[in-house]
Amino acid sequence: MDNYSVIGKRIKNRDAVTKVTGKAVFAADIKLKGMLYGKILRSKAAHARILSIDVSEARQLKGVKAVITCEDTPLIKYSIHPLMADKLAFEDKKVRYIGDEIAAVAAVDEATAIKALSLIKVDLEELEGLFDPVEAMKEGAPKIHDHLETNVSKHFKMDCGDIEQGFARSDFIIEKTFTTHAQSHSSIETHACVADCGLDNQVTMWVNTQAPHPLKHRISQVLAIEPEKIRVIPPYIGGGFGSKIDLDTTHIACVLLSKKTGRPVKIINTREEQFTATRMRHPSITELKFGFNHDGTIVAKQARAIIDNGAYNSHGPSVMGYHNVMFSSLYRVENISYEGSLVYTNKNYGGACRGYGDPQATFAQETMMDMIAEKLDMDPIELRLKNSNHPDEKTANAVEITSCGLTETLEAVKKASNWSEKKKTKKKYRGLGVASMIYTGGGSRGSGFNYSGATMKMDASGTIFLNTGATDIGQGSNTTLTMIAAEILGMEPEQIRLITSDTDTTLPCMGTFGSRVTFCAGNAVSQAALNLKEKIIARAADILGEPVVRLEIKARNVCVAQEPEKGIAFSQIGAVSYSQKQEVLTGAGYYDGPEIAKDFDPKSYYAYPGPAMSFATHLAEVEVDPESGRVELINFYAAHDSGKVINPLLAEGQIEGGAVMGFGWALTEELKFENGRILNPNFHDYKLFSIKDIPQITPILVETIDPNGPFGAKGLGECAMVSTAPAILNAICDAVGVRICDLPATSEKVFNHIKLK
Amino acid sequence: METFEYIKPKSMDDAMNALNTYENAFLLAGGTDLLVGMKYNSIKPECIVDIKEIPRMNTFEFNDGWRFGALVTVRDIEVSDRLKQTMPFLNQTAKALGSIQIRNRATIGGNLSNASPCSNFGAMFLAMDAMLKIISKDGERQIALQDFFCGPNQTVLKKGEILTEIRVPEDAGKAEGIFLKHSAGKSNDLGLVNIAITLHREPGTNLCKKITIAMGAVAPTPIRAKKAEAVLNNNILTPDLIIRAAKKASNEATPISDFRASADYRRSLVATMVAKGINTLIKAS
Repeated sequence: MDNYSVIGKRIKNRDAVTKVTGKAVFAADIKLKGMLYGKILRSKAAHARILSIDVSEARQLKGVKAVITCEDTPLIKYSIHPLMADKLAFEDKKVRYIGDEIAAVAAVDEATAIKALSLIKVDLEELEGLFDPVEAMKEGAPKIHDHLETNVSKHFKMDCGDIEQGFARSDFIIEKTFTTHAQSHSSIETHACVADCGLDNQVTMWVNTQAPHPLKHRISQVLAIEPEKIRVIPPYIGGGFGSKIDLDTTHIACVLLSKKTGRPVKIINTREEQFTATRMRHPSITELKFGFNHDGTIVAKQARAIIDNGAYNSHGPSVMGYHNVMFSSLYRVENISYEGSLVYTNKNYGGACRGYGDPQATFAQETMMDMIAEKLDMDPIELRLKNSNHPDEKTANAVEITSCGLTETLEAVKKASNWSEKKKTKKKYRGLGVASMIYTGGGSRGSGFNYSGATMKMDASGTIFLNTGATDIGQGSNTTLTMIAAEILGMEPEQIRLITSDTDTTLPCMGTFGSRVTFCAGNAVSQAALNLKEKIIARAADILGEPVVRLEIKARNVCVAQEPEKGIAFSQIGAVSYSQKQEVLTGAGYYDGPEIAKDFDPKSYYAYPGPAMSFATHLAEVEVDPESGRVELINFYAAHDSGKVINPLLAEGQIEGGAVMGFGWALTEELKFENGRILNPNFHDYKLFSIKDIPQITPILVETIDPNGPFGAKGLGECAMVSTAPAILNAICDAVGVRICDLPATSEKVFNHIKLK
Repeated sequence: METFEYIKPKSMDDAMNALNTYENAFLLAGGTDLLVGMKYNSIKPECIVDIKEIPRMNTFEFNDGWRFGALVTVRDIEVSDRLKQTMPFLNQTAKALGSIQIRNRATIGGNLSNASPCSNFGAMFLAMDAMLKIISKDGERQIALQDFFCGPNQTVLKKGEILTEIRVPEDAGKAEGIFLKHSAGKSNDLGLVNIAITLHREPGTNLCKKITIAMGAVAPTPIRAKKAEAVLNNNILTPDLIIRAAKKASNEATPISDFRASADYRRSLVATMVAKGINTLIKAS
């Protein structure tokens, strides 16, 4: 057993009380003196050439302080992938989706700003819209981006082993096509930003971003402003799920409008804008071909994928990379072939969304696994155990697996759900289904970096400060990171003063995404804490006249081991350091992950440079009403290998939240498009799972100790939703014998499948 | 949202005056439909006439049949013990509407006047042969709910008229009844199909003396499935007959296909739900 005093304890979220009592200040709550309200004019056409934009009437409206278009910007394109940047803050020649930004206004109040938008005259020449990636790939299709040869933004092929020989050696081959749909992140809080550029041209932004340090960098690039003039301050943040990683035109517009007026400007997205003009989960088409033997061994697997990019790149290129990595790394398969095309369409564009291409790949692969089990008349769990990944292995696509508890997660859900017994005594219309997954447990250096920094200090009163660039968007990193520091420094987490996210006061951190904060920022904090601990003990040794090796920290005292009465309090150490030694005790930590392998291919993500991989298995029990097709979730079990769990309470919360996001994606949530227009941009018609729809969820923490994680921890946030949908759809098949390969499995779709059976 | 006048009259006469003064005045009761329309700019009132303080509009009582004031909230109906004992299907109808927060605000008069094709009370009161009392400055008139709806969000209410009362005949209170809703989610969700049924049986038998079946969300307004009712009236409710009636009801429905569901699926649901509704009533006794 571990002998930790803080790590592994169920400690409630550090900011829980502040949030539930309504005291937390979010970006939308910020009001500054003289503040103006900004609004963005968005395209109502899916694909059109901009002939002219006339803002003169809008400028003359009383209360309007500024109107800006592309002419007010440096025309620098942005994307998360700098070499594939394709998005202007305000489009100059063409609009490419309904929601595309054309202009922005700042006015004394919101109503005036909205009125001003209606006075901007935009002359458009409508062009043929492309809404289906397969159509967009055809020869002769109209081009969405004029500077490119085709509508394919990125294409790659990756081969490992010998796919043809693999199929030739297989006893059986199954082929099937899987499609997935657009999901909205549906964070409780919409995008919101307040920018204050003042008269001295210093830019201060209060913005709900998952990645403040990169945002500062991107604002600097896209507006050609020196980084030393920019400060990004994230207030409390109401969720992100990937939607708040990107630079967004709301940020750029806020800064430009504030610069132009010399007054602070606030822009808050309406929920409709959040649905129609911020990122979403990429829809996908994945054709799979699997070769396997009588005993269940997967010999060869091939995927041909089309990722529907929407109008711009955002994260598309790396989402397709992850689609490949996670497809190829799950299970020990020697012969793999992956070919993918990322295709532009005239729709809202995809971005990072919890799981980052993995849910799409896992839905296809894990449904295929059940088809194989069915063909072989083999237990689906046995089939997965047979092909399971193991610790200290390198996959065929050269992904280094350090710790791995995949087998244990399979066994855990089997036991918890009473699988074997329930399978034997199957009730009519009831079904069980499982699905496993692999995902990064600590971001990656796919973009070249995976950095997090932390500093710690002790002040004259002995108070300990933790200073981290990591951003808590609701997932609880403020709590887990202080727990890591507290464990090392022998104190309680709430005794640590915490400073986070602000780009002026913290060391750079890549941000909250890629399930990387516990791992990367945790490693940085751990190093900073160890560093500070060493200095505190050295100072204590000096004061006490004892050798360092005899000293230990207990409850903010440095004591002599076995002689607890002989010691010195942090407060004294702080005081002595300040007044007598004239020194501030500090610690610093920095993490950027292991060296990138020489054979890493940034296009296909072959030899993916993730520092650790997390695993999970989900198991769903459903009941299907054959007369309406309605799927009722009865029980849900989610076993996760997230390494050593720093805080089980928060980890279970993540697992439950992820499962619910997966329930929605599997069954009810879908952005519906008609000629590029989203028909359901509200929570009335976009069906999130509500508290009444959610079954009993049983989170199971299968702990491994990762050699490179802080205390052995790995990431969890995104993993929590990746294998939810295939588990449910496999359960539906078990219940009523229909294999649905296109998400979501709405009541109507299930009903129609049953009717056709 | 644009600016508008707001008036809160204390009497029906003052309300009438206000309604007739403004070209484009809207009544505010619970506001659960009005404010949504205003937020999405589909309703742009010049004036809002808040009728919540007009007396005697928010009560219901039995007096030679049931009388419900138009301002009775959906939540009032949901939690009423008196109704639970006499017409539990009304509590059920209320409970299936929106969330508790919405039910606390929404009124039954508003639910009818908004004339949504999927109005819960539109279907249930239709099945109960409800009569409506409508007041204007020229006096009052009574019409059957059957003649009230004209199309989606359209009623026969003329400018200056207010729906003030819903009356249901005495025998509706002696019927068995059920309200069924099929929707994607379990809470706060509109029905893809709503079915309301009342049934009078010969005591102790399955002989149907009178059945009424109303359907919501499957036509421009809530409608009665008269042909299905005719199949069942004065007959023994056998499984075969119930299936035949359910199919009839399904054919009487004229649903649209939209992103929420296809017409075919809605029709299938009608048959399933009508049969399920009748079977539930039979099995309950």
